Amino acid sequence: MSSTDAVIRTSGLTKHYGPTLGVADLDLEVMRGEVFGFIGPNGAGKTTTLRLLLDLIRPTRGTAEVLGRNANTESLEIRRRVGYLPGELAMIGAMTGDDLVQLFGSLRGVDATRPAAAVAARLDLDLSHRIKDYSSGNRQKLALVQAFMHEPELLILDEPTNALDPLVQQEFYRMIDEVRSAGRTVFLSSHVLPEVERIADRVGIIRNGSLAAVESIAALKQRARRRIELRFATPLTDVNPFARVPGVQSTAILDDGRIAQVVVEGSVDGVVKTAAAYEVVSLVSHDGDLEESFLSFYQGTADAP
Amino acid sequence: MLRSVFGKTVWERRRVMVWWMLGFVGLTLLTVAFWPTLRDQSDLADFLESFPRGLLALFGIEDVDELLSPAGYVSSRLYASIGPILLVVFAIGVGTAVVAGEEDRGTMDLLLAQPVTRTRIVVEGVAAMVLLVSVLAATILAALAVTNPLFDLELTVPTMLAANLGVMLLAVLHGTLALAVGCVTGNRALTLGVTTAVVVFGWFINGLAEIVEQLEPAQRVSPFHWFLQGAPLSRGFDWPANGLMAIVTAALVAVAVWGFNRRDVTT
Repeated sequence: MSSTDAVIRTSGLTKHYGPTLGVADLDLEVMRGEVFGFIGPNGAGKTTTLRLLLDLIRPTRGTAEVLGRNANTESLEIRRRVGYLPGELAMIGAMTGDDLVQLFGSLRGVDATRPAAAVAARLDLDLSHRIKDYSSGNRQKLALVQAFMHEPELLILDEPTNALDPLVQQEFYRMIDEVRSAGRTVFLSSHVLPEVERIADRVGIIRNGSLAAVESIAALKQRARRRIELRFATPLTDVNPFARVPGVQSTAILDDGRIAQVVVEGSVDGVVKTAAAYEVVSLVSHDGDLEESFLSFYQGTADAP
Repeated sequence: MLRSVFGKTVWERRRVMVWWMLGFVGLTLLTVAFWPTLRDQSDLADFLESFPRGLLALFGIEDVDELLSPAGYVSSRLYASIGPILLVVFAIGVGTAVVAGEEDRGTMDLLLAQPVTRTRIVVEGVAAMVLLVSVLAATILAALAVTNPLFDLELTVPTMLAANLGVMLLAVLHGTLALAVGCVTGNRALTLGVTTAVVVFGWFINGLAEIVEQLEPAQRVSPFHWFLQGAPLSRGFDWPANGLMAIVTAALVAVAVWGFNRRDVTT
């Protein structure tokens, strides 16, 4: 992809908060039409990065471009075309959901009533109640409504599924899929790995304010490790037939050869074909998701001098 | 009403405004209703003359003879004591809420995620404050205009207008100061602290300077002195004083715009 397709581009983006570090030398590119997951533990600098893109805070060094415009000097034009969901959510309690939609729609110069009602209906949110009477889940839904209602080219969402129940989360994932299908872009932060695996095309890992890696989900899945436990009807004749299979990281043979525990990276094809030579009673696979490969990545970074 | 930052600022106070208006009507009626009693106290002048001049000054009485005129009485009770203080407190509340209060509640991030410049938030906030304070000043004016003939106050329309314009400008000046401090610091508690200190200083220096001659130079920086020195309820519009208050307010708006645009939004 050519770099002109970048919807978000930061170079050397750095933010210090007094003595504590926000983010350091962040070089990030998010391409048009992709869903980019920004992932890392709490306090790693995800919110800081997102707020820099919205011009809510100003960088100590470096620059950020959003939709081809300078995040600081051309923020008004950027915000016209972006939907943002803040991480630490607070709204004026005296307003109803409808009031908030009317105010923000007016500030955007659009009548957002109908699109907002459509999003609210999908998320099962009643806009007629006062915000102070909303549960935290309903507040999060209202924040999603105001981010989606003007169908922005770019959605910047800070922990969007916070406080949402699982059914609503699924609906939100479908909304993200639709945004991607429409060629629009999503930049979202999360600390929930399976969520990012479910909805993102690429993922950036931030740790202690630095971008540790950027990978496609497909590539990460290639690297994902699985723990497979196989039970056999009769003990294995070979001492350990799995040790020589490509991709296998480690093996353990238990119960006099009736149980084999195998950790494999990437495809499990070799392990299954090797096991087929024996009578397999059961096969259990753990951790198909990215958790393990991420954690091993974090581990590696933490252990580095 | 919820179509702009201006509208939102007014909308959020639409209910509490009713109480403020009732309060100012009550204050005005209470003040005016005592005038006949005071007027008929023939020995009151001698009694008041027995007090030190400075003590009387602290109560907004600069001249006993003037107090015993209807304009002097209403001015000292309504425009030189609790009245302006209440209006100033109200304006500070609005001025603090527009930026520092919004940040304190954590609602500024979502507002600034919309295509709204920070300058617009400040300017529309000031405009809303001017409107709200004007409504309250107009409430006092209306209550006074209605009771004026009933209690033989002999106040003229120009002097009543002058006093209410002056007290409105005084309140807006302090409200804009609160806005400016909030814009520079982003800290609501600090804003209230600094602004309250300025009000208390301005108020007491104006009164104390009547007792302590050496304080007279300091008195000249007190906005309360600017407002009261021309005795608008007796002498009518004091345009140099009104102009000064307007200019200082405009300068504070500029500081607010500068202060908010240059810094990070707090969370």
